[in-house]
Amino acid sequence: MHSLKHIAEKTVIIVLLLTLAATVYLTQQAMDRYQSIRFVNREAVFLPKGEVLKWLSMGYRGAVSDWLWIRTVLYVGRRLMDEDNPYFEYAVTEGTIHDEIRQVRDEEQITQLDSVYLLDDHLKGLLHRFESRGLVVHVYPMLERLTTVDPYFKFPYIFGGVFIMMETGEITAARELLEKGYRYYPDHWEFPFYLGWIQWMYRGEMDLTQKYLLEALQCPGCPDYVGDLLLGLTRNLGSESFAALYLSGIHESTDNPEIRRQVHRLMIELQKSPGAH
Amino acid sequence: MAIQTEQLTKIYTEVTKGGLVQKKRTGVRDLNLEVKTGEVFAFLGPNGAGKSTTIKLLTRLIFPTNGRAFVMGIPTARRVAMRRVGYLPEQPNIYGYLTGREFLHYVAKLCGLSNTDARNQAEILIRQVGLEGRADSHVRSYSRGMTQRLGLAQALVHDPDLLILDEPLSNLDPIGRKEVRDLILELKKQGKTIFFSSHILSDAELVADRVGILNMGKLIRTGKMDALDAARTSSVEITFQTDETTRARMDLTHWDAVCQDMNIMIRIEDAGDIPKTLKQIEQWGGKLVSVIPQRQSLEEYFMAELGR
Amino acid sequence: MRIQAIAANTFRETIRDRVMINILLFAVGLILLSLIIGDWSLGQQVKVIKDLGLSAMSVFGLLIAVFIGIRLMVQELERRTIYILASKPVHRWEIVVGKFLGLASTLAINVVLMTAALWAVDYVMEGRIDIGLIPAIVLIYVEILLIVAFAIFFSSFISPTIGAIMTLSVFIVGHLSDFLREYVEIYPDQGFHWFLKAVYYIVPNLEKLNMKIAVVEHLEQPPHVFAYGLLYGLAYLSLILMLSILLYQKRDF
Repeated sequence: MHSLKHIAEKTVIIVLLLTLAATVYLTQQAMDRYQSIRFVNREAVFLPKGEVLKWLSMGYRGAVSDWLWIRTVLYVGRRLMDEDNPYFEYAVTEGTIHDEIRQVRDEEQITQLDSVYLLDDHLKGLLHRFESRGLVVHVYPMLERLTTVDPYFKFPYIFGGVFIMMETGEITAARELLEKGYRYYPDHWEFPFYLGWIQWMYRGEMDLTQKYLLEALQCPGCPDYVGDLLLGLTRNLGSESFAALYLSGIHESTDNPEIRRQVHRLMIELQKSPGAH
Repeated sequence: MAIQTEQLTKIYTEVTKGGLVQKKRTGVRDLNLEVKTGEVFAFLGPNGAGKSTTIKLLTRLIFPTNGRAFVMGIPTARRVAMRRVGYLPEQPNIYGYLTGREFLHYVAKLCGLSNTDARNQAEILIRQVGLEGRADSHVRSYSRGMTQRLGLAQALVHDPDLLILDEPLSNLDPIGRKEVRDLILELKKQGKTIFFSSHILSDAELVADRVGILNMGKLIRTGKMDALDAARTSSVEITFQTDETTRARMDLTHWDAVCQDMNIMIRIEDAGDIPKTLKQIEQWGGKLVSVIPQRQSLEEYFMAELGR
Repeated sequence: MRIQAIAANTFRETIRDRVMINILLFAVGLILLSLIIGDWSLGQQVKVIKDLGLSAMSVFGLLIAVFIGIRLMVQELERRTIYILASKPVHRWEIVVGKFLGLASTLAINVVLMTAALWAVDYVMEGRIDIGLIPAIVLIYVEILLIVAFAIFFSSFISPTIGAIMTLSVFIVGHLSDFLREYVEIYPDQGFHWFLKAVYYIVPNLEKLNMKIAVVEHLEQPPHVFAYGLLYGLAYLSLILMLSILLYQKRDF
C-alpha cells in the first residue's frame, strides 16, 4: 500500500542516519585514544609563538589563555598521572617519552644542582628528587606562551614556578616564569616569596632569599609567616626547620589542592627525618 | 494648486561595465504639471513612460536632477511637504511581522499624530477599508487585495488633502476596482485632491476630471476629460424604423446606411448635424429607435496621441 | 516622536529574528557549558567562566552585527517597504537613527540576558555575583554597536556580502590596532611612519573597548580607562552613523 512503502522508506532513512552518526562518534573515539600517544610529545611545538598567538586572539586573550591553560593542565595530567593510558607505560619505558626523559636527565642542570652545598645530603635527597624530570618537557614553553597572551593570568606563573619546578627540577625556567609574573604583579607578595624559596632551596643564595623575603613583606597583604621566615633566616635557623617553615608557608599561600598535596607530602617526609623537631 | 512642477527633470545614471561606462536614462524631462485642488487627475502613459518616476519625485523617494516640485504649496525638498500627502505605492509592500492595526498605528505616528490620535485613526481606517476581521492578523497572512486595502488605509490615516496613488486599480478584480473608484469619488466629495497613475484607461475615464498623458518622460497632453470626450467623439449612430412606403421616400445617399429588415442605421460624422438629421427622419416618417455616439475609444485616442 | 516610532518598530522586527535567537541560545549554552569546561582548569573555574562568558557576549554581538546589521537598511530597500516609510514626513536621518536604536534596544535585551546567565553561573561557582564585570560588559555592548554602525555604513554602498566581509575586517584590524601602534614605534622612517599612524587613528582601536582581562583579574584600572573607552566608542559610532546618514540623504529609493 501507499503508506506502508512510505513508512518503510522513512525507517530506512532514520536507520541510515543513526548508523552514520554512530560511526562518526565511534571512529572519533577510537582516533582520540590512538592519537593521544602521538600528541603526548608534540603539543607545544605546534603552537605558534606567544606574540603571534596574542595577536591572533584579538579581543579574546582571556578566553584563549584559558584554552591554552586547559591544554597545559591536560598535558601535565596525562604525563604525570596517566594510569589509564595503556600506551603510556610503553612510551615511558621504551618509546618516545623515554627518549625525552633521558635527554633531559643527561643534561648539565642535574650536576649543577650537586654544587648546592648549604643543604645537607638528607635534605637534598628529600627535596631534589625531581621524579618527573623530563616527563613534562613542554610545560614551560606552553606556560610561556599563555602568559604572553594573557600576562595577568596569575595562577600559571605559580603552577610553573612551584609545582612543576618541584616535580621536575627545572629551576631556571621556573625562576624566569616567576620573574615574569613578578613584573606584571609587582605588588603581589607570592612572587618574591616563591622566588625566595627557589633561591634558598636550589641555589643556596641566601642573600637573594633575604632580599626576596623583604620585598614580599613590603607587598600589601603579605602574611605574617613570611616575617617569621625572614627572622629565621637572619637568625640562622637550622636548614631543616627553615625548610619545614618555608614549606608550610607555601602550603598556606595557595588554595590549589595539587600544590598543597605535593608540599604536604614533602612536609611529612621532613617530619619523619632525624633532624626535624 | 495641489501639485505643481517646474521643469521637473530626472535623469538616471547607470554605471555599467565595472564602473567604466555611464549610461544615462531619462526618467522624466522638463515636466510642467499642474493639478488643481479638489480635482481628480489621471496620469496616463505606457509602461516606462515615467509615471512612477514622477510620483516618486513628488513623494520624496527620489530627488530631481533639475527643476522643482510643490505639493500643497510646499516644495518637495522639505520634509513637511508629506504631511498633507497620502501616498499609495504600486503593489505596496508592508512589514509582514506587524498586524494591520499595528502597522496603521505606526504609520499614523510617523505622520505626526499623537499616540492616542494614531490609535483612533487606525481604528477608523480599519473600518473604512473593511479590514475589521483581519486587523489583528499579521500582514504576512494577508491576500493581495487585503494588502491593497491596508495600503489605502495607511495613505488616508492622517487625513491628507492630497492623495497620490500609483496604479491603484491595477491588480484588482472588477469589484475591487469599483470599490476604489467609489472611494476616489467619495474622497473628491470631501474636497480632497486625487492624483493617480494608471494604464487602465477605462477606469480613468470613469473617475477623472482631468487627464495627463506621459510618454518617454515628456508630458504630451493634458486636458479635461470632457474635452477629451469631445475630441474623441467621431461619429453618431442613429437607428430608426421604417416601413415599405417610408423607405421608398428616403434619400439615403448622403449617409453610410445599413439596413436590416425594417431597421436602418446611419452614421453621421458631425454631432452638430444630429438635430437636422432627426428632423429629416421625422419628416420622412421614420420611427426613431436610438441615437448612440460612437466614441473613438480612449484607447484609440490614446494610441493616436502617442503616435504623434 | 518619529525616531521612537521607527525604533520601536525595528525593535519588534529584530527581537523575533530567528538567526538572532539561535545565536543567543548558543551563547547562553556556551556560558552554561563553561561550568563543565572550568572543571579542567585546575582551580581556575571562576576565570574560565568569566572569560568564556564575556567572550561569548562579544562574539554574539559580532555575529548579530554582521547578520542583522547589514540587513537593517538593505532589507527595507530590497523588499520595497521603504516606499511607504520614506514618503512619510520623516527625515532620512531619522530612519537610519531609528533603525539603529531599534536594533540597539534588541541587543541591549540580549546582553542583559547573557549577563544574567553569566551571573547565574558565577553564583553557582563563587556563591556571589561579580558586579565588577559591568564596565567590561558595557564596553562590549558599545563595541557591538560600533560594529553595527560599520555594518550599516558598508551596506549602504556595497553589496551585502562584501559589506559583511568588510565589517568583519574592521573587527579584526580593530583588535590588531595596538600591534600597529607598536609597529609604528619600531619604524621611525618618515613616510611609512605617518601612513601607519594615519591608519592607526582611522581604524577603530577596539582594544580600547576591551576590559575583559581587567575585570576578570580585578586589575587596578585608573578611572579614565572606562570613561574614555565609553566616550571613544560612542563618538566613533556616532561618526560612522553620520557617514551612513550622509550616504542615505540623497539616495534614490
